[in-house]
Amino acid sequence: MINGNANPFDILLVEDEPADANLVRSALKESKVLCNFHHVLDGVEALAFLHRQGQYQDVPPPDLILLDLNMPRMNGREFLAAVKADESLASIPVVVLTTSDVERDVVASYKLGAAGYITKPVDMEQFIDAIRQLDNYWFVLARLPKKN
Amino acid sequence: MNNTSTPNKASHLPSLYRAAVTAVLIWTASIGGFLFWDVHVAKEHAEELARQEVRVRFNKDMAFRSWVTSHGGVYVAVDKHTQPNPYLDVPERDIETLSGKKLTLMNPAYVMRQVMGDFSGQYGVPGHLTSLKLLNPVNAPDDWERAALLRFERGEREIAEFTEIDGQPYLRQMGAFMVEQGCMKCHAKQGYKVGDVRGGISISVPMQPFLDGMYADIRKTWWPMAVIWVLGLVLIMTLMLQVRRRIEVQQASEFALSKSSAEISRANTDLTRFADVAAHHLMEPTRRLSSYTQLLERGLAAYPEAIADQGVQESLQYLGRDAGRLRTLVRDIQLYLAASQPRGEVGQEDANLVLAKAEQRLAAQVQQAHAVISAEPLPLATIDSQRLMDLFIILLDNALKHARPLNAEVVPQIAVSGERDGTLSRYRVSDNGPGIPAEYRERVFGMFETLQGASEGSSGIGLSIARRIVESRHGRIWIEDAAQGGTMVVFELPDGE
Repeated sequence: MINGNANPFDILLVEDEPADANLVRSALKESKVLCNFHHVLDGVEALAFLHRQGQYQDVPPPDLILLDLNMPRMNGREFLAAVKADESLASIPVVVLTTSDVERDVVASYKLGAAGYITKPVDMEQFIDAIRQLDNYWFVLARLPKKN
Repeated sequence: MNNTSTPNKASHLPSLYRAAVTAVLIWTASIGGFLFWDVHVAKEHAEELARQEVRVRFNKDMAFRSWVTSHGGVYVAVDKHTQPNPYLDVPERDIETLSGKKLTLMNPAYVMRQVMGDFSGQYGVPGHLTSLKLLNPVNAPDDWERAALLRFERGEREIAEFTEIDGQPYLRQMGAFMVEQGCMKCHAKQGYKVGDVRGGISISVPMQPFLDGMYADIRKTWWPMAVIWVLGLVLIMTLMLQVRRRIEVQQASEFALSKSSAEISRANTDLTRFADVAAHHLMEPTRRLSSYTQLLERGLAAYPEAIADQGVQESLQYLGRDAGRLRTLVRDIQLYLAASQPRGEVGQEDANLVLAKAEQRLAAQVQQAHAVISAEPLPLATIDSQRLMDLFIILLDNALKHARPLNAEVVPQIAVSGERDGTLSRYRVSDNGPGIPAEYRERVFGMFETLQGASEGSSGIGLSIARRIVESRHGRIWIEDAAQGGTMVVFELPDGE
């Protein structure tokens, strides 16, 4: 899964649980996805990242956001709503990544403009596979909006 | 259940007060009606007495006058009081006996006037003989008598009336007397013929003594009736107060009951919510435990000498197995908690369709077990399709896992059938496995009960979930012997909410 572009893709993970963030990082590494991995702990930080505020002065705009739903301060739903309400950010695809497989959460996420919804698999093999498929879909098959 | 509505404390009391007021009104009206009737009877009685007295005297006067008339008057001795009647103009009005005693003829009017006038003390009630055509003006009628006499001219013969004389109540009766042969002696010159109305005798009885008697009678009944009335009121009030106290006690206990049932329901909701949240939070680290165990295994793959170490290998195996078991447990607890609530709309579900979907979901296990599932046409089920599917999956999965025939060459057969029975639908899932001994058939519905020890992917909660689903629909689920020797799980789902 090597893309021909000189600029590697930038993935922003919004996840408060370091163990889960580590799993995503490991899965990305295992699945040999070539990308720049950025990780923030909650929605407030993620918005600062997207707006390049504070410590995030020099970060690139992400091509894809992986979002956990249950977080302190600003939860995933609030963050999703804020991103989709902001015209400069609305075009960034957001894939919800969570333990919750409650139907209500799925519907609510899609309504708020999520580009996808992935239940965190318990099996590591499956998880790596899911991440690989995610990468394949977004960075190979689908055309992403050009970064500014 | 969110049965927290506060009971309407005053719900029964207004109707009780209305009933009490109605009872008081009916009671008072009854007593009043009785008194009214009593007064009426007393009055009738007094009037009847007066009428009888008047009649007796009237008849006596009439008889007396008739007697005088029948003799064409009577001769009496002339004295100071009884002078010859100057208005009587007949021959032989005054005669003398041989011994020289003077006699004069007294005509009926004269006799009556003298008797009534002189002996009214003994008579008690003054009678009066009068006429429209008078010979003696002393006998002139009063207004009432004149009116009565005029009515006699028109054909009436006897008139009785309660009226007043000088402001006092009287019963007056007047009867006509007719012109007879005896009258013509004196009255022919006035133009009378026999059969004409000559005049009338009137009797007036003062009503006051009768009325006094009546009032005394009434007074005799008034007091007891008043006492009975008051007693009735007291009885009504006492009854009302007693009923009110009962209503209040009942309402208080109803309130307490609804309060405590609301508390129980709230506690139950809290507990379920707590278990739900706890299970949810347990799931996160449980999932990570599995993931990191696998990550560790993958990482160790680069170090074959470490894997070769028996201890490491075993530890990893146990870690992985327990992580898996923990996951299954937490997932089953979540499923159990969710089993009592419908997922999606409760309606008339086509069980055949739902069963087909369940079979699809279990296709891999069916294939693995080389099992054959056969299904008869099933009746509609009143439930949400999601949980009906859970039911079929649990029962089919159980049959696939635990009902392998003892003879390995026999094909595992699972049969699903169903029927309508009154207002419920009954379903049967049977297998040709070893069956479940009768003494364990109820036990397997308990939480975490298995007959084969813990095995991967089975926490022993499946039948508990199935029972929770069925009972939340007010149905029943139990185990019987299958015709083919194995286990048959039967469940019933009633119609309606």
